[in-house]
Amino acid sequence: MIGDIVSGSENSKIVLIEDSIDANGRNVLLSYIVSLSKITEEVHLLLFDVRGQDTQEALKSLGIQNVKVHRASTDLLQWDRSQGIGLHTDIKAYIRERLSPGTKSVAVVIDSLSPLLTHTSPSFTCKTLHELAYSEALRSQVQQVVTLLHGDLHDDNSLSLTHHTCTTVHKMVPITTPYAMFCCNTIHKKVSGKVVKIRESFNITEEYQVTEVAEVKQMSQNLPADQNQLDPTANLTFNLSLSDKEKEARSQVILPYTYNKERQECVLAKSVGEGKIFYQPDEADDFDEEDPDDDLDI
Amino acid sequence: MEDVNNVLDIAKDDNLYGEVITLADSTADGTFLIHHFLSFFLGNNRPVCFVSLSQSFGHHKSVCQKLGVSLTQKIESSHLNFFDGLKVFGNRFLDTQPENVDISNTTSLQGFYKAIKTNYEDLQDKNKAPPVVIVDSLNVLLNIGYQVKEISAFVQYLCHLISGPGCDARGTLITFLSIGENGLDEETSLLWRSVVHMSNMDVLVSGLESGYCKDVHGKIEVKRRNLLKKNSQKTMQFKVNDKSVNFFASGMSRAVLG
Repeated sequence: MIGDIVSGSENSKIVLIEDSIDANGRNVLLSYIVSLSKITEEVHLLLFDVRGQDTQEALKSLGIQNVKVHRASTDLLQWDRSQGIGLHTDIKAYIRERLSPGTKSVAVVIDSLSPLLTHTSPSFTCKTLHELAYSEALRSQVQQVVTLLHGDLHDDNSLSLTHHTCTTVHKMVPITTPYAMFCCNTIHKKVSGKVVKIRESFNITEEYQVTEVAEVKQMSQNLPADQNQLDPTANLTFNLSLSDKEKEARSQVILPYTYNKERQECVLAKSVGEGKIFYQPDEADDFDEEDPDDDLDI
Repeated sequence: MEDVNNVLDIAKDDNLYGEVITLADSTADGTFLIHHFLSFFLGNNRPVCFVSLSQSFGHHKSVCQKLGVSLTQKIESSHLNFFDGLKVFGNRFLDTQPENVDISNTTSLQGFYKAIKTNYEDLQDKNKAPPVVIVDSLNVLLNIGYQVKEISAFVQYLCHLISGPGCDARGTLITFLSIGENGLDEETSLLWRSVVHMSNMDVLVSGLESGYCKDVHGKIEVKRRNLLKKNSQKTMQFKVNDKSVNFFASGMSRAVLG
């Protein structure tokens, strides 16, 4: 999936690459820039981050001609009162002014969105992103907006609002397998409405091409059935088990209040209305039919 | 302290032009790193703009004397600019305006940045080599009441201050931060993460998980961030002595091996 989105065969208007200090996303951003430089006529790169200079240097070493870099990181809050752009600039208008006349397809890349999200509000950031992609003000057609965001610098609310604005979110995670360089969780909202969620590992070549994309299947988290049930009757100092003879004797025992043949006949033979006592002696009883009061001489 | 250089993969005559290094300590004391860098750069005749917010001049002077560097002499020869943050910020609480630093604005660090910029440019004019800015430590700014985003913007401005036009004209920025026990202080952790995102290399000194030990004071983790090459990470344990620091692989302390 990530390979398709980067190469452009899968359409996505706003792409977000979310990284952290443990998993860097700048390489993926560079892959997008390299790919977009081939698909579109102009790529406008806005740098808000200090490390954006790494992106700029990498692009210089690749010798790509149609990427225009705009450094907004040097005077972010206008402390130096320089003429450059910063967070206060209207990005939409700024880019519109800098489009070469006659360009039909343009891409906008932002490295990164974190200073914007930190110093302004989430709603302003989402609005800016949305306007860059969809507004009529940018007369050329903006084919794609790709942005980097440092996920560990913002709270969940801001992050979820930003995710909602984007059509694709790549969340970089630290790589666990040894054979790939990068791993990310991708959520992609297709044009048809279907949402694809996939976790993939991949490599990036020195020319910033995404290669060897492979799905990483999550190991299922089912708890294994408790096969090794401990037998509580094992390892006791007393005997809880039965021998065969004892089992047989146990099966012969007549339970006291149950019906058996003899008892049933007594019950059935009784006459209704008369209180009659049915005495059934068991083995231990010494049953004597004689009247014990017989020898009384009254 | 040569051993520290070895752990950080810095050669004796490395100039670290354009590098942004973040030093942090959590449960052990990492201030030996500051003294190391201070003596290293001054020893290599690099001008240093030292912004000291947590310790007085006397403290640093005595520690550096043990390492063989005289701070007073370096100030006189314009190799060192010592910004006494304790005095400047302390006086603000006492309502006396400092002479050349405008820190009257309680939410913006712009005035503070301007003061450091002036010092930096002053050093740049007087010396051939590009200066180094060392900030010790950023926690004090948080404790005074500046917001994380303000301090983060301040560090960003410092990063751009040191990056000059050519490769040889770039200075170096080293910031120090105490993040306390892992993740408990949210604001400090957030500030640390935002500064780490701006840096090439970050060093984290932490105590042993099993507690305090006389022979092994803690562990040090060094992470280098390069774009495409795999980020290298190194972890070692250390013991701080009077004038040096001993490093060894985890579990390999002589005291433990017996």
